[in-house]
Amino acid sequence: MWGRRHVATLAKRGTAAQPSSMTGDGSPAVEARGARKAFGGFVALQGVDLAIAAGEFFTLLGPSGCGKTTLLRLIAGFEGPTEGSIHIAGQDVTADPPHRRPVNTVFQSYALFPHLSVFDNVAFGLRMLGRGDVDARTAAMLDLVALSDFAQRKPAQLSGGQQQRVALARALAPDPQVLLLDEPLSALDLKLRRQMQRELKRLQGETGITFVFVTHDQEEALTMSDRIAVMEAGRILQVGTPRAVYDEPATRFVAGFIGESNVLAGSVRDGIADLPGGRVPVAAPDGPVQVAIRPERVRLVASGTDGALGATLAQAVYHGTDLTAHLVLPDGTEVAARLPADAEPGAPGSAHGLAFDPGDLRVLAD
Amino acid sequence: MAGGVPAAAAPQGRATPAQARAGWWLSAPALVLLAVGATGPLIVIVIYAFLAKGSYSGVEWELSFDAWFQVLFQRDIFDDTVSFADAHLAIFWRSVKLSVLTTALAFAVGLPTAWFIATRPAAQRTWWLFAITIPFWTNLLIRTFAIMEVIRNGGLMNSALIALGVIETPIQILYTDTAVLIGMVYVYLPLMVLPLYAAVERFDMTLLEAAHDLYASRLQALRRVVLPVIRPGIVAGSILVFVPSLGAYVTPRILGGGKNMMIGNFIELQFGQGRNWPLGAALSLILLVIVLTALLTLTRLTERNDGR
Repeated sequence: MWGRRHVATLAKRGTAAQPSSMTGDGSPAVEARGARKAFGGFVALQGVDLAIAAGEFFTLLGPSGCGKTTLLRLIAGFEGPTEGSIHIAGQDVTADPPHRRPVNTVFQSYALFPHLSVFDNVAFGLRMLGRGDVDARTAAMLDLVALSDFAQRKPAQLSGGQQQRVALARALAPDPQVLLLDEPLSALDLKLRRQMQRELKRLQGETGITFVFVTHDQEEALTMSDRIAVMEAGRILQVGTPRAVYDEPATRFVAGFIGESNVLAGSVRDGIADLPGGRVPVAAPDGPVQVAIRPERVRLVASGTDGALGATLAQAVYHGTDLTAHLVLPDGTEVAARLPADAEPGAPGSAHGLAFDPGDLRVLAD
Repeated sequence: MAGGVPAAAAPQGRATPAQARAGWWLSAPALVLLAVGATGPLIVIVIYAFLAKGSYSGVEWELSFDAWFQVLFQRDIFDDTVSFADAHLAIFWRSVKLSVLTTALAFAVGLPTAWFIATRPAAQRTWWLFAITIPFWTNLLIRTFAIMEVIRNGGLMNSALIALGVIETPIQILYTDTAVLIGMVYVYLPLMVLPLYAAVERFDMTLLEAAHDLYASRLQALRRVVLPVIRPGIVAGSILVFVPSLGAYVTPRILGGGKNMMIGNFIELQFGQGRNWPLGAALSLILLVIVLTALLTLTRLTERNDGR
């Protein structure tokens, strides 16, 4: 849509001009090396290594307090790492203050300047950079987020969704190498949120800017991201495409946090796992093991079927589009199976077999 | 507003006649106090300003514009020639200058102070604010004499500087405009800090991060974001410092000596040794006009900011 101007922008900032991330010089758009952050005695981030490729829609996903916002603030420069370094487009920016980093942020609270009009909010960064095309560029950005008619309004006169779009236009206006988004959709209602999710994807596609998106909403992460980093307790547990983190969760936490999972504990000998209710082949070394299986990958078969786990039906819940059968294994482990809406699992207490494709069974790391 | 609205259709919250009567009764003490303590004296001053001066003191009950003439001009007592009363103008100029400087210095010192307090943990803030108000517990005279003790030639500051070898002879600060300025900044500083604190405390610190994120340096963020957003606090603090500074009496009297008068001292002089009550009354009214003009200007500054 527009030419990438950040090379000139960078030169103006006094930083050595790097070839654009789009030219593929190989260095990641954002890189954290051993980034650790402690606030007093509390360790928010425990030595994180991460590389985000140029042009990627990258999501940091995790529950509150997992360190995802801290990592974002380290990239933006609002906090300095206690240890480790942050690199943007191959440049070590660890010591640079926020206003010297080719990065812009969309804040969770939007942080629009209340005393400035929508136009002046969007033009703020351009004016600080001393760019010559402030008016044209600001108008183009307002057009991009469909707010041209609201240019002279104050932020307080806009709806939440409009404020959100101003924040987005303001952060995109200086054409940053990386756009950081800190749970930007969490204040919107569901319908607006879905709409903004599509909007963000569109903007990312049109601008080609690397997006680093922070959210605690796994559905949002799955639908929007190119890659997801799942975080917990200051650590990155797994990095991968939405399909990879969903289908191949690395840990019990990832399996439980992204979608629903049944986690079964047992022990392995010679490639066969001894699980409650039966034995199944598993690619894991001998010893205790935890495996995860998605409810939609579980089938109900007749009790006693070869290779199926014996279970008792506890409850069947009808959802309209499908039906969830909650079953109990002999040791008391609960397993959910998502069945077609017309399935008839029988009365509570009836015996069933749980069958699944061994390939759908994930061995968890912890 | 109320005209033509039928009683039945009156919007909620409008007082019934009984409530209105009760309201008047409740505010009666304040209204009486205002009438006796402020409006009454003001009327007396306005009348006095247009009367002739009495032989020894007080006023003669005859219409006269002498007082207003004397504000700007003086008549030579021997040959009756009229000349410009530049001494009077000098006093006005010094008063306005010192008050503006006091306000500016109080702001320069007060903003970092307010910022410091507002960024402490909530439990600590109360104690810092408490500390700010401690000077109010001591009589103004005593505080002013304490400053005198610090800045006089043989005082704390000069002794310390001489002991350190920075200077050889004491710096004469006492009985200068500088002394008055130091005294007034000290006395009125809390009145600047408190409204600034209230504004900074409400300031959303993510706005500062947003400004830095959008390539503003610290100074640019201060000028483009912080100052405009906390403007109501700045205006309130400036009014609270500027208005009493302009009318200051005790501080310039003690620290400025007899000759560095401000309007307040000059007015007092007319009602005392000067025995020219009408001139004192006229000067008071001029002071009032200066204050009102300053207030209106500052208020309009904030309004312009709030609009649209």
